[in-house]
Amino acid sequence: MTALMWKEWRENRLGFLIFLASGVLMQSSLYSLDQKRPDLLVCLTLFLLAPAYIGMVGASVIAPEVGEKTLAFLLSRPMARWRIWTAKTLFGALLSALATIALLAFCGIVGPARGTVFILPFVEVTSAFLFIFSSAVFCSTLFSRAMPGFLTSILLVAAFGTATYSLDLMAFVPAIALVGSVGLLATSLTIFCWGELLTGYRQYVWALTGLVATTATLYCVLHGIGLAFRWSAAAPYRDLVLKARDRSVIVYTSVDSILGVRTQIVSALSNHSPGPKVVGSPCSEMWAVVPDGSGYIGWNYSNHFGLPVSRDHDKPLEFIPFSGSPVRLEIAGHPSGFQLGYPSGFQFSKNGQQALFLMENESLVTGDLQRIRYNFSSPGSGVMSDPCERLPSPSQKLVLLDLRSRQCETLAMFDHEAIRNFCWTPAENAVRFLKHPQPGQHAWSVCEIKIDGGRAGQLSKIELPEFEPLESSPGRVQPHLDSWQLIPGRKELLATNTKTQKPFFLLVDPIEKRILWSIQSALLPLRHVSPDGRWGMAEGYAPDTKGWHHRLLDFERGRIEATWPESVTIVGFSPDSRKLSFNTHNYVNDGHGRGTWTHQIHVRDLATGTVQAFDTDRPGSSGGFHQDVWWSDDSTLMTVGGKTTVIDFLRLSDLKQVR
Amino acid sequence: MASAISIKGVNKSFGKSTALSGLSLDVPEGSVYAFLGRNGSGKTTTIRILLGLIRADGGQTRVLGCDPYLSPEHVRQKIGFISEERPFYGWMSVDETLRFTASFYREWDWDLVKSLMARLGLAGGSTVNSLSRGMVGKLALIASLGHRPNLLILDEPTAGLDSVVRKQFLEQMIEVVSAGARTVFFSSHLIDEVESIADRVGILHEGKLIHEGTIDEIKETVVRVRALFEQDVDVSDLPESLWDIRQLGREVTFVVSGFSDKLAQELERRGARKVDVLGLTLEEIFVAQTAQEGGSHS
Repeated sequence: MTALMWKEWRENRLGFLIFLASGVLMQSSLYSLDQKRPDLLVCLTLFLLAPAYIGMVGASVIAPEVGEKTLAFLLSRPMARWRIWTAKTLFGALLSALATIALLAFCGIVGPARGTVFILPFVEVTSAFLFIFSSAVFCSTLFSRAMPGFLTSILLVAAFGTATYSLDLMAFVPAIALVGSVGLLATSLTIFCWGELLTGYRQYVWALTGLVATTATLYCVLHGIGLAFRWSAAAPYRDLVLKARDRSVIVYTSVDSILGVRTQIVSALSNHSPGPKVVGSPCSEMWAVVPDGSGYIGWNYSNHFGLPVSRDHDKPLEFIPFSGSPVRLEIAGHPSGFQLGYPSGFQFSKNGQQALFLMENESLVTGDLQRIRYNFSSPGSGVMSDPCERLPSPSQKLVLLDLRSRQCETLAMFDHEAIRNFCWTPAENAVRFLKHPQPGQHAWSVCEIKIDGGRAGQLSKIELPEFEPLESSPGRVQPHLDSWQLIPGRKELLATNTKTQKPFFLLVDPIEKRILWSIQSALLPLRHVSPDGRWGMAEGYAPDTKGWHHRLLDFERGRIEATWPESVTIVGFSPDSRKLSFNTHNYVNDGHGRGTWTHQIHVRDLATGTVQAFDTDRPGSSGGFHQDVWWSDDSTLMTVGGKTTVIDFLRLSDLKQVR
Repeated sequence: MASAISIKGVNKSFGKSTALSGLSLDVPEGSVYAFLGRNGSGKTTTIRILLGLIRADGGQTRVLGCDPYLSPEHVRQKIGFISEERPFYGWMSVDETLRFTASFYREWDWDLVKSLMARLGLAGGSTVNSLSRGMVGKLALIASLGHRPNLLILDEPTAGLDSVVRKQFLEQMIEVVSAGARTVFFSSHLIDEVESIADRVGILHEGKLIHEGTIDEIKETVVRVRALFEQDVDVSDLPESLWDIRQLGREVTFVVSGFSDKLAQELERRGARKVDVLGLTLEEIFVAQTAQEGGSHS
């Protein structure tokens, strides 16, 4: 076998040196043309030359021996056919790897782009090169000359690439290329060993059969993985748990990986169902659960294998019902119908038929890909837009979704992050949003767009002026950057004034243009607002204790009702706005150097201010839930285990009250 | 005497084309066996089966006591093989070729190789591409003998050589081979080169062995018969197999294997006035018996 490798080296060494010299010349030429991206030159050199060389080496493994009739010499020696094939193929693989590494080393150390740091997707590149080599070796056993084999292998690789792309399997290139390569090499070996029995068309029929069998096997394996994945439900990802407004269904997203590709699956858990059920596509991303709990708004990015696609920009926004087929949500103005940005902040109307959401970062997506640019030069009536000059497409859009018509309408769009927050007006006949000024300007404004029959109507805009100070305020309250916040369900705005020595938290009426009340405290934006809009929870810094606290605000009375330390986890308001729940985690030391953690849920009656504590550590529970507790209904809490996949429904009446 | 090669009832087909049909032959150890046949008669297929390169569809094959398809490497360690194409790597020198060939064998007699090179006048530094066809043939001979094989299989070893070189090559081959007392099985369609070196001859025609034996045995068995009849007569319905039937007026000649009294009586019964039995050269026998494909019955 060593002698055979020596022979192979003697036959290939000239090509090897030509390959390296070509790499040097090519890189030098490219470098003289453009010196800005040396890393790109390295990649270009590698990706243009290496596949061609690897293909030629692979195509030269068997075919030339047949063409020059020297194969008879080898076959008549006391050496098994499989050993001959293995030695030659192994040498070809080693030479290809060596040539590629040598070229890279030259580029990185000696060449004109030396010192350039280039990062290659190693697994993808290696697997692709392996497939090129394997297909060339395969073709080499079919042809008696290297060149036809090489050209056919190019077709094979092109077919492979096209099929992989069109079937949305690009994310699985390494796995598919590996399986395909093994199949091709096995077919090549089989033909080589049994080729004497196959003559003329039979050899090709057999080879084709091998290819079809390999492809079919690959398809079945992938489909099987997809099916298996569809029926598995991984642990809930805490931050991605959403719930229907009527609390009948919890939908959560789990993150898992399949064949090395990060994938999300969406599961639904009903308080009447025995366990979680994977819903919709096994590879989907969830943005919001519709209020009636019949489905969710999300991305479906699985192909027909049930595996995730790899083209991020082609995911259509869909309504994915828990039973039935997904429905694509048409976004007006998109020529492709595909979603380009990332939706966030879904806010449904009370009747559940309409929703507001922000579509962000479209410009980044389109700017990166340079693929789809759509023209908003003549937006519809009611659409507010700043000039989109800096970026090819909007960076931020406020979109109205009508679930009845499955249509999305753009209400406003900007080439910068102009919308601070947005909400329905209390009567839900209009949409309000706070508009950040354009770069270089300072005037914030409150904008309202009337919604009439599910369509955008008249736009009104109030620029936020200076406000007359309250008598209790030490100075005039000026609108500052990052200082305004809408309160869902209320007409007033929250603002902070951090310009004074002691920061103030203020509630202002933008229409009456007056400050309603002020509290001396620095608060971060609201985290939770009660459904009736009266109560709000915010985190803030207390200068007296020099610590961060949770604060319960009563907007009606204009005061801080309660303060908790940061270690307390605030969870939320009950659906009837009468109760607030929060968690505490206490470490109890037994005095002998040992201690235990206790977890309790606290429920505050917002009307009376009384607090009840409940012990949740009970057998069969989620065993130390972490932070996640929600009100399921007015008397039931739901917890998601921090350590397990259990989701508990806890009735307050069943819990042990702690004194 | 034990058989170096033993083939019994071997069949081989490629699709609808039958290459070998019930082939049986024995090659005694130490003999020089000439395997004669026209192009496409199945000689190379037989040799490929002997080398274990392909598997027979049926029958039994033994080479040096082993099944060559089941133990190809073991058998090939003991076989020297020269093919018609002499497939050497043109870029290799003679020395490199021999070293490369030697690497496949467990044992290699470099002394023998060097002495053969000296005797045959082969320079080690020359590349194969620069050698004449005769010299390449010599290289093939040396490369096939370096591991001291028990059996030498030669497939048309002189193909492509002109008559002078062929004669020279054959003489040297006989000289080298006879020194080793080894079995030689060689195929050819050139009769004159066979007569001078072969102990036994097998004639293969359309996948069947139609004659086997020593050259003298074949010459004694296969004869040309010339019969003169009193009137026109048809002899094609005679029970014996006749080849190369020619009729010129009332004189009929044909070749027959094993002229018997019975056949003589049958000819007389049909009105033959005179019957002559003529001897044939091996080439005449070969041509007469293998030319049937062209339809030369008369």
